[in-house]
Amino acid sequence: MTASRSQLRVQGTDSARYEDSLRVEGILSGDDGAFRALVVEYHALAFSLAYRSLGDAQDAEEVVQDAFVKIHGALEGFRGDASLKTWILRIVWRLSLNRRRDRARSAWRRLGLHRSADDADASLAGPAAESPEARLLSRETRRAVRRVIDGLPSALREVLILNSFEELGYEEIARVLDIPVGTVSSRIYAARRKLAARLPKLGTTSTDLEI
Amino acid sequence: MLDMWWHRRGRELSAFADAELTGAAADRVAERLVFESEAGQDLDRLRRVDRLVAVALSPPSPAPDADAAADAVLAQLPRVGTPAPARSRNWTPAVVASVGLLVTAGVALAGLKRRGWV
Repeated sequence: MTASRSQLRVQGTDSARYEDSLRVEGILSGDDGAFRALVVEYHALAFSLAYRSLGDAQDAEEVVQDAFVKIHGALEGFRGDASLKTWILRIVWRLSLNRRRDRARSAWRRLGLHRSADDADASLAGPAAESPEARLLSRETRRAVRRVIDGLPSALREVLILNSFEELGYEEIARVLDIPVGTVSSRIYAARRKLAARLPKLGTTSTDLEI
Repeated sequence: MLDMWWHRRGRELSAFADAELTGAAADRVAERLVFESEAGQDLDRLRRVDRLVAVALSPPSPAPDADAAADAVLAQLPRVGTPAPARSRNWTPAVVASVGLLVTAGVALAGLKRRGWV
């Protein structure tokens, strides 16, 4: 019998929770160094999550900074029901969604004067800024896949983005989104089915699919 | 009924791809993968989709500097014991224009009254 991804993560939860609570106490007592260490530790994770949701590095960085300022102010309300990591990611996720909504509503975007996610990708200095895997996939295909993901119903897009995050199992995704684990599982399956049906129509080549 | 059955099988396979299944459910899918070639193809398809999604969504590397970000965040935190900054007069152009109009109207009305036209 094998342990699931979620179960493996749950192991050692008690000691992790204890460490979380010590950490929070330290920050609440005014230890700026402890808070700084927290930001440094979770920054890459938070940025990765915000970027996956927004597709724009600048927006993602702004959201992450805003999130950590809010986290500092909200730490008193941290009850330890979820891990500190999940709690932080939930705040980052909500702020990313707010930014996404604001962006969609903005006049700049409606007038087509905004800097699109594609432009933002292009401004990331080309191949040097890409991971080796990303370089294997043509820029056009990546854009096309991103557009298909953006075109999914928000409930499916959300679970798909969170599941693309190796760090999170179904239980943690459920906590971030505040939905049952079974719903996470069905939505991930539905999102994958929709993508599998739509991706071949994009002209993604067999090479693209054989990464 | 058949739809629900297919959906459950698909959902199990999807959870299996994420290593989220345990016990009897995991064994059931593993058995299907051995005896049903279609299940294997479905799993491959799901994994290909996942790889495409992962690459399409992957953030640029290197990630922004965490130390610089931490400094920026700390600079934005309210300092304990620091007096709140004096409120600046953040008057919007609309407020300034309204005040200007009121003053002009008042002066004009006073002039008209002085001349006995009102």
